[in-house]
Amino acid sequence: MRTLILVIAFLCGGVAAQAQFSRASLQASGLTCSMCSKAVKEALEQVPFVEKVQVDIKNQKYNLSFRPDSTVDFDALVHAVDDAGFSVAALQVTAELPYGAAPAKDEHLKIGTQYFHFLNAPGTAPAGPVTFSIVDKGFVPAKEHKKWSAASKAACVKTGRAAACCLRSGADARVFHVII
Amino acid sequence: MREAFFTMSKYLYLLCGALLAKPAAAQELYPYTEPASNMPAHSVSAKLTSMVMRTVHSPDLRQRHMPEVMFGINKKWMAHASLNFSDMHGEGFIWEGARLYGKYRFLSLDGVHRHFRMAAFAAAAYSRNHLDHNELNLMGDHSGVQGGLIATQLIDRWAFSATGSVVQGLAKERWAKVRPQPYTFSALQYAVSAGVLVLPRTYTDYRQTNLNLYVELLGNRNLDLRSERYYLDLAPAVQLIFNSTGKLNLGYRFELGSDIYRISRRQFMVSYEHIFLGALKRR
Repeated sequence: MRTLILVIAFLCGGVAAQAQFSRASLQASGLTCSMCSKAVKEALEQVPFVEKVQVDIKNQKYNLSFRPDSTVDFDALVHAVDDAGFSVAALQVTAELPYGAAPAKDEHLKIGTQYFHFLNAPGTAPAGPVTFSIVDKGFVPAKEHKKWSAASKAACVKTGRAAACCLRSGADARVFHVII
Repeated sequence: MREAFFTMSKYLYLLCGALLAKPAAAQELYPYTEPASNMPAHSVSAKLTSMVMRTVHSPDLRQRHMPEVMFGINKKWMAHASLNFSDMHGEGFIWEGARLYGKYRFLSLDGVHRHFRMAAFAAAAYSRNHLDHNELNLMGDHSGVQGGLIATQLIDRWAFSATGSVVQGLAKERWAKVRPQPYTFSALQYAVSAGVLVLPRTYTDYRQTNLNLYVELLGNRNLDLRSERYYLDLAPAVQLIFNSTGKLNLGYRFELGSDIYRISRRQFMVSYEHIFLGALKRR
């Protein structure tokens, strides 16, 4: 039953959202008080392209839906949480890939106007939206970021900016490093 | 007797169950000390702390009240400003003084339900009271300055904190040419605090009332006196948080040991704090 609801929600989300990123799930850390979780919620609600924040207090998770026709800036989400005095432990993004595109390991993929570097990939073209996690600095605990940047030879993993390994994204362009 | 034992072990078991159940994070909101974490940034808090005690000066109950405002300036800095009123020094109920406090968080190792943080703090206080006791503090009894470090570790439902600081009394007698000095102007203060979130067992709604239990060990060592050197207090406390915005603390601080002639050796404390989340945020 739960799966069915999820599938329906998935389909509705896919139809309603013309944008590439319809929603994301953010997990916060460093929360020290019951007010803290509320403070994170309010900080996320103030981000202009965030439409709605639904909180799973138990797991410190914030399910975000984005305004249609808005540009989603993942760095702004991290900044909002950081600015309130807390940290991001995980950010899972659900995206509509360009038609026929298949994420491949250590390949860049342009989704909307933004570049994504897949540090792992299933290798086949997915049917429907894909959910991946950003592992750049600030998006995961420092230890986890270190683990992923050590696992890849690409220099851009450490900085999140296009380097010699990936100049065709444009020099110094923001590249998000993600895992599926 | 046996039944009583079984009933007691049942309650203990239930309490342990509540304490060990995951996941719900502890709250480092110690009633007697500050944690290394700051309050949420861009927020304002209003707090009133009241203490009731018997002093060495009178058989009657005496009281001290401290209204305080706290500002979460940004993620690193927070500041407090407070006033003190009391009738503890035998001159009727008077305005005693004021205190400013600032805290800078310089280390955060954050995980989900687990973090370690460190902060540095400084405080300055003005007091109108006469120097008559060698328990140095900035809560209305002395004019002075204080600086120190705080480290806080949070693990699931538990929060532990250690604070160490140096206090310098700045009353005019400090510069009097009396030797030996009868008063202390220099002390080391330290605190070890522990807290545990008892309720709610599963946290699903901001309106749920939270229950926290705390116990704090509060110590002092005077650095410039031969006698009257130390005190060590224990302060258990209960805390209720309503609607994620109102915080009620009830505590009892009492002396474990001391060689100081103190104005009071035990006090009841009650405080209420209300937080205005995002009050300083530009919209």
